[in-house]
Amino acid sequence: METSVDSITKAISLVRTIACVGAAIAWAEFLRRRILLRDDNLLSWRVMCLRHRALRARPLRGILDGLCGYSGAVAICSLGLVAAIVSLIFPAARIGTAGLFVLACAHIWAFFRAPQGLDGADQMYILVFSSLALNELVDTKGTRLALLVFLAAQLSLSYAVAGLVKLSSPEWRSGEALSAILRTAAYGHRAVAKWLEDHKSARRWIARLGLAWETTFPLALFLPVEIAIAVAAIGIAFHFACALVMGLNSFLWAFVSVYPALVYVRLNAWPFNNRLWNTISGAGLSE
Amino acid sequence: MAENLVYGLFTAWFLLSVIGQFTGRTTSTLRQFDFLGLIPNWRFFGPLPKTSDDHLVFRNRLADGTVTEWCELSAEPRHTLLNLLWNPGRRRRKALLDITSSLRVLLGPAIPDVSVQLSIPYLLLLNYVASLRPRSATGVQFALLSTDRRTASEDPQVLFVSALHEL
Repeated sequence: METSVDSITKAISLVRTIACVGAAIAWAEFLRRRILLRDDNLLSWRVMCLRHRALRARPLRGILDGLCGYSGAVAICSLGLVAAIVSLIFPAARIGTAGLFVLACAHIWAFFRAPQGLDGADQMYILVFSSLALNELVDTKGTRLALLVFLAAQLSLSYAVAGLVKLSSPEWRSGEALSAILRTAAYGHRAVAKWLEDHKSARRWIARLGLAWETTFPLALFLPVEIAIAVAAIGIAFHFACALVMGLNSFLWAFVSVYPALVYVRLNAWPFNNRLWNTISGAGLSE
Repeated sequence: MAENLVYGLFTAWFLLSVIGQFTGRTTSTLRQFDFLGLIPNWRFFGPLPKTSDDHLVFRNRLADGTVTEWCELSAEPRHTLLNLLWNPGRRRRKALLDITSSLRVLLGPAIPDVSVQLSIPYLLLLNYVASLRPRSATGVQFALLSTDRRTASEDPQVLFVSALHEL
């Protein structure tokens, strides 16, 4: 029979594994487009350091130029990639734990250096790796549970806020905003946008169901397990569709990495005994 | 003791994240100090998404005084199935989107003040287009255009034309 420590460890391990795969891809993508980090390109540190006087004061300036200039930036991106791979391959070793700290620092560094070009997935990586690293400092059963509750709460907050702010917009409720986004060059997909244009009723219902799912996502923590699992499954499908249609591949890994935390908290913090719960218990996520 | 500190940090972090989702003075102040990006913003595409495409164009003044044609910055290729796993182009696309969106906010409806030229988005764009100049260029100018595919005509609307900067 499994102990509760085992199931918490499994949930954290799943969070960590999925996030590390996503982070490895994200850092490799950054390295592929490292030209952006050059001083004559869009994310130039030479310009970004002008945003605050403190960034140009000595001796801080020398340190920051070393860390955020082109060579330092490429080195940190490479370090992020190596840390993600090491943390994935050696999760139990000290080097794997050190990898989590490096990943947390690297993602925070990217935001500090130039937030332009970063997105919600990068924000989620900051939360995931920083909280995983924070837990490693103490690592008791209590802090592990706190870590999973924290991540599940952040995930719920993210969807609820995204849904609520859109609910106030008639453009979103009618589905017009959805097809308008899909017509843009940045997040667009001409075929899907055209289909939505031709099927206005379907467009309206897709938008409304999407908003309803986002807004009510936190209820997954309180609903019967079958429904909570269905809500999570819709989430995976949602991110898969966003990756396929809008090119938001990083969201798939970053957000889905937190789903094991949500499932663990639902299964163990609100123990309604039912059939599916018992089945999942056998799979090891429930105590 | 250390355990309680971790509980406190998680609780405070989550509460600050909740506060960070509101609009207003408190949130603005909070974000001003959040230079490490610890407070997420979960308002994806809401409440009003950006539904137009911005285009950055630039031209140069050459040593003989002639001015080149406007040239559009090349866009990243459109999404393919491979982007599901590998999509490095999204970084540049998003960076350009963020920079032009920030510049649009600074420009506002009025004629832009000269102080816009000292803003980070303006300097980022100027620095970038200046690096693309031909060897014989002595000046560079850029403009921001916008197209909205919801309108029947896809003719771009000129949002902003920069000063001609000496190189």
